[in-house]
Amino acid sequence: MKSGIVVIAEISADGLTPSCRDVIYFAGRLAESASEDMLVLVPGHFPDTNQLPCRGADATKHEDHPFSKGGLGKFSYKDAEEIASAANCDVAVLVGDHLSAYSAEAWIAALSPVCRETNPRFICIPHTSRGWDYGPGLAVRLGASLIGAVEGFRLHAGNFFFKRSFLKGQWQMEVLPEMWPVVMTILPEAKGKEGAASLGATRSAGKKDRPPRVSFLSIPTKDLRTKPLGRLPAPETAYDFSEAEVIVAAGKGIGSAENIDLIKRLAGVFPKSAVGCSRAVCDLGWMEHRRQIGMTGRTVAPPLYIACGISGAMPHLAGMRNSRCIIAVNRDKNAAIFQVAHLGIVDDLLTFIPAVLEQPGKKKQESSNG
Amino acid sequence: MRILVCIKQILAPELVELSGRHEIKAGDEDPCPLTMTPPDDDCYRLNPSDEYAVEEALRIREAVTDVTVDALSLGPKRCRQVLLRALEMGANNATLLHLDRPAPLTPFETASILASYLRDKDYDLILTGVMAEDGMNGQTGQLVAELLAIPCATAVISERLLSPQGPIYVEREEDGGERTAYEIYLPAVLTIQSGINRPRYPALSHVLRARKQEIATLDAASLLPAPRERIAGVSRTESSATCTFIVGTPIEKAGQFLDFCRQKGFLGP
Repeated sequence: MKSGIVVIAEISADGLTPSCRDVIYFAGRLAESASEDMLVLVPGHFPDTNQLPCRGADATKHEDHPFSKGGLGKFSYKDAEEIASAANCDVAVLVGDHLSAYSAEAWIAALSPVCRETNPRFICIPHTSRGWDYGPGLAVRLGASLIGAVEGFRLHAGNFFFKRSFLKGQWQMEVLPEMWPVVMTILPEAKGKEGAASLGATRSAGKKDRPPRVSFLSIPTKDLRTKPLGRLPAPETAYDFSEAEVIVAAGKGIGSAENIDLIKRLAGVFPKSAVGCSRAVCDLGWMEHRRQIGMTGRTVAPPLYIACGISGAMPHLAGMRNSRCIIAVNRDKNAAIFQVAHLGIVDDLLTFIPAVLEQPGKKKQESSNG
Repeated sequence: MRILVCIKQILAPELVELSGRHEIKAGDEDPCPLTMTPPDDDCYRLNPSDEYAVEEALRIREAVTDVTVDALSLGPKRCRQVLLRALEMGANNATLLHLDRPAPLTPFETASILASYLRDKDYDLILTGVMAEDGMNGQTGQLVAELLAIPCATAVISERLLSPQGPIYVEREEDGGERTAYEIYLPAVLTIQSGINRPRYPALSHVLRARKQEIATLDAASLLPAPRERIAGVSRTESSATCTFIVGTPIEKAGQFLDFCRQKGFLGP
């Protein structure tokens, strides 16, 4: 089982995650540029695998514990076949009872021997809260180079340069790996703006000599020092996010807790509105955590999103970039939020919002909703 | 029990944005073209999530008996500033691994130096912030853990010792705010999510005491590993082609903003 590009899939209760589909798409493009084969590895414990030719797979039921099950849901042989045929690549499912719930330690232990045997040039991992949890450790164990939050790549004179952002998304760097393999965590958006492409959209290359295969590898249980206990639900979402046509979100640029009132009053201008905020605002205690929008908060996609004093670093963008229309207000014309905005206003919030509130004809809605 | 907190001094990103006093130079001859021209020391500060990590270590010390909290940083002399801050907050000892290099270190380089230093130090628990705001890598803690062959959990939003020598109960934050809970045997590395606590403001008596404390300094140049990846170029993120900017006085901007919202039907009938 040799392959030049390995993708480590992430699955949830609903099967392959959307961000993982994006990464398979990204890896497909990389595979084409590098003229390499692609292999998708799917670690987990799969209840239906006792029916399959997988030596040593243990299909005993999970014991009950006080948390909801951390299991890997409904992913099945059929799903593995679907990935294989759609992406035109081999799929190897890593089966182990200790892989029933995620831990970095178990994942690294299970993946590193398989990656070593596969001997790839590139290992692509979704840049999710799990991917960047185990990705760096996997890189060290493989003696690999490591590039995080990759947004794209460029092939120049036989070298692959990988693009990533830093300093709140205002700057970008190109990173050149100097060791092989290269472990990368890939931002979901790295697929580009073509939209939700199907898995195989770029795979005109690939294995021509035989159809893609699905295989199952039984992963022996290890003595682990990390014991997963289960999942705890996210804090309750602000009830009005899904109903709102307009979400007005505050960033640290609002300056102080007292100024949050201005955000609420701006939201009051719109009949069906809600207020949200960036992580920084929650961390400062200026707004409740259930109003947080972004990677570790809620993902929203309202018809209109108004970002007030939000710099636009990747974790926030992940939670709102699919809003139909985005208006950004920021003092700094270089703020990364303007990358995704349709309409930009470079101004101080403490000047701009009062100017909006004082415009004639706005009082009616404000008094009925504010 | 001995706790170590790894902290980083960063160039405040908002100063990079606003002051224009810094220059990031790109040049192809330079083995690493990224250098952040240092202005003055007030542009540097303790990385925010590392401050949460210091606070969390101090809270563990307050909850359990017989705990020491040491702070460790890596970089040039100016990094003594963040170690002093950790001492002011209440850390027992502070150590600077001194390395004066204009180009920023990659996470692997940083982690290798830290791990080389830590190998015989026998800390029970190593804390650090979830991510440095300048490089935005969020990898150093995991790399240190793997180099020391001990477990790691990232984005920790809650934790408590189940017995004085461990294991430790940990909740880590996943995408969408869901949490996963773990029991982890020590020694271990935890990277602390911002917002886990409210970092204390040092009392004046602590500030005065900290000034008398010594910050141990060790030369780290010999611990620098061979690079595994390098920064080949940096650039300003290109301005968006799709964003239309409203110009004018604040009143004019407000008017156009509302016209736009009205046209799109967001202001209601």
